[in-house]
Amino acid sequence: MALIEAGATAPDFTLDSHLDTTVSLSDFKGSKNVLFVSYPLDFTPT
Amino acid sequence: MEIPGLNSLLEEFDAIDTQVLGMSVDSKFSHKGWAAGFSGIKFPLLSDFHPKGEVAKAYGLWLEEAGISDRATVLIDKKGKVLWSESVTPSGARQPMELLAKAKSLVG
Repeated sequence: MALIEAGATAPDFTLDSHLDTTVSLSDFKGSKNVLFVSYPLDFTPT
Repeated sequence: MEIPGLNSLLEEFDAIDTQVLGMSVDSKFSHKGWAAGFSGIKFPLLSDFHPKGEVAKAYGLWLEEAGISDRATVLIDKKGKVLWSESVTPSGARQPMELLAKAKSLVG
């Protein structure tokens, strides 16, 4: 498994958020860049 | 503290047309409880919860043995292309100010 690299098309997704919204990557197409920040688990340091 | 650190920089990300999205395999209820501990997180914390890790797998940041997603960052432009990506490993650390500087240097 290798992390997606620069130049690739970012796969679309639709996920629920803690703000009770449903967010799709495609929501931002044409309007916003996205800083997508993955982390292992809530309630852990750093 | 990267998540609250990013939260404190949201206006600066907004100034460069950049939406911050967090993601882990935790449920949204876990995210709610965790965010409340930081007096709220204003950007969406997404739940890659069911099917677990599906989005992480699509981005190549799923850690199968641990059953968690990596600590990794992917910057995506307005056309949906990846501009930059980096893993710091689960035990690594990211500096929110450095992520902001990286985004400033790369977004059009």
